[in-house]
Amino acid sequence: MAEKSIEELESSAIALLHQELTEPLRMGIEVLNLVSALPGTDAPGKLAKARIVRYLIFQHPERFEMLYLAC
Amino acid sequence: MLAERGYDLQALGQAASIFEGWVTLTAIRNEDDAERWLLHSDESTSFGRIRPLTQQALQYILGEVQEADKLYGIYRQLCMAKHLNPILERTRGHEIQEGTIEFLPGPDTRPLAINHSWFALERGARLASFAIIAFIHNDPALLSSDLKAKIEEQQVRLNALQTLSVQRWPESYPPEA
Repeated sequence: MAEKSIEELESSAIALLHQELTEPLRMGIEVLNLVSALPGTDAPGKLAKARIVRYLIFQHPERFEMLYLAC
Repeated sequence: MLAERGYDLQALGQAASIFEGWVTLTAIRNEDDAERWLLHSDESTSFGRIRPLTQQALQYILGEVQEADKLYGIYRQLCMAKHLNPILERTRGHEIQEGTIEFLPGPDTRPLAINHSWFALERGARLASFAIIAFIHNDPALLSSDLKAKIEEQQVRLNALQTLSVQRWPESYPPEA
């Protein structure tokens, strides 16, 4: 049996990894912010299908949050 | 979320998914492509195979496919974690000391895990930036001078991060990858 719970292990990991991964974490968030800032998301009914599909892929699962998950 | 909690292999898998998102997004170039994507109904296959989609993406964006194998090599690296490749998996999740094996469930903060998380984040950010460029390339009317400047500034910072990453983790960046 592990001496610590998964929650406790994760809390310790976060404290360490925030320091170890500062630069790539910051870069990942910055790229995500630029994805979110891409224009043209309003009035989807007026958009071409190609643009709608590209936005849908960007939102897989939610606005390219695969990068958010990786961060 | 995954990398910062010590789940580096899962973070690598997510970076592989970002690669798939980039090449798929690049493949949606016109209304016919969009229609084909919207009508895709086969649960057993994806929209396209990743290697040809990678070649097509480079041909479309850059006008040549010289770097396609190199880029696909990155995807293959990331997929080792995504698809539980034993070469990677058998080195993880346990420690052997004095002939006794100890399994280590949960987060991993050992040096190799930090290496993997760093690689996942650096490659993931780079690949997501490729997707931004493809998005604009497909829809140039969206490219304002302000957005162009932001993308260019971000590419400089991505290049700097890649240089730092190669210096720190050279074994993760073999010449062919």
